[in-house]
Amino acid sequence: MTLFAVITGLVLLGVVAGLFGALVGLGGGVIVVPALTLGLGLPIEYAVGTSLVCVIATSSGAAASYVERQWTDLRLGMVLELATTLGAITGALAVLYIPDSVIKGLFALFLLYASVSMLRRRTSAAQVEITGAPPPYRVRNLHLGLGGAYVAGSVSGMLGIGGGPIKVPMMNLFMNVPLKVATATSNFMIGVTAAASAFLYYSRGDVMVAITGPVAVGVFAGAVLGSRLAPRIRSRWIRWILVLVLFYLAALMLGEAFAFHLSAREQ
Amino acid sequence: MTPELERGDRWIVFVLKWGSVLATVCMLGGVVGVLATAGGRALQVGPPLPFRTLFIELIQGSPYAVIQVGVLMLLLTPVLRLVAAVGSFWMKRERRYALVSLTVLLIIVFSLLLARPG
Repeated sequence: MTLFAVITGLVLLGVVAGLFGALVGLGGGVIVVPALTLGLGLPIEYAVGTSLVCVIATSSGAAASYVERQWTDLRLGMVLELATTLGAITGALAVLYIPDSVIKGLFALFLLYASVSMLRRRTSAAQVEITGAPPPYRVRNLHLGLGGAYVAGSVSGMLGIGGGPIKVPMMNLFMNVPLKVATATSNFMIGVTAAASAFLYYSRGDVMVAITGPVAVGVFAGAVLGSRLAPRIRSRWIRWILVLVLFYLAALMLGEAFAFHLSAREQ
Repeated sequence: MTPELERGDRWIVFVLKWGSVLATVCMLGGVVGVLATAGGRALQVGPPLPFRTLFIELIQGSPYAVIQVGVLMLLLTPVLRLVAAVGSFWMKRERRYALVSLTVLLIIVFSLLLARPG
């Protein structure tokens, strides 16, 4: 394959991840990691390191917009970041002791969870964006929230994802935070959480610069394009497409995990 | 009507917006440079360069070094956002949240120390 084709493919991968992220609130890592491991044959730790940088690119622009509209609960976000960053560091260190096949299996399970939770969700991120101001609320169960945030951070640091599918339902269902505020606050936390583990991956040499650059550029372009298209597109169809893609990727990742596990046992 | 954003919060928005834009522009410049100077060579996939080598490669005009600078800018954007949050809460006289933000910043510094960059 020519260099031009490789770079175009990586940019397009980023565009797709950024586009899904902006349109349905789920993208980035859940697409980038499987695409890099299954498509390019990259070891999972390289894919995770690369994805974490892309996750920062996806979240920063959206987080700025949410803070500007005053939908983000900055105080709650900062308190929960205490737990997400510690979790992210734990996840990035734990990866060193966990076999690749287990991480791939965990990733496949996360993909299944994310696609099921997306099927059950009635309000999409795009719809959340265009409705009015968030209602007043009082945060409850902060201790439970801190525990959940630690888990979300660990999953992010281990699998290279933003962790929105864990944080948003947790804040919305257990902490009494309106969906719109939960979405905005989760997005606000993603960059700092990803940075906490990304520095570790970077120093271990797991961030492949030549791959990260084109994918991150594509992610940024896809996110900008998606935020423009969101009010005009029926997100239901996009959601269905993403659910099918996630199921497919989960099946492939599970297959890889089992194949890797079996070949390791035979040796 | 939504009240106007406070000055400290505007810093947070500024850092998030421009940090990611500048990093992306830098990476895009590097990617275009890689395409322009490839001359039939394959993509040089490898770990990030140590800082000293990165500086030398940058002076020599290596497009891969330019991409790496963009990646570093992107990684530093959330760190600067934390600095802005500390300042924002401090200005609003919300010392407790300024302290919380400072603690998160210290956790990130701890991860940087764990990382021991080359």
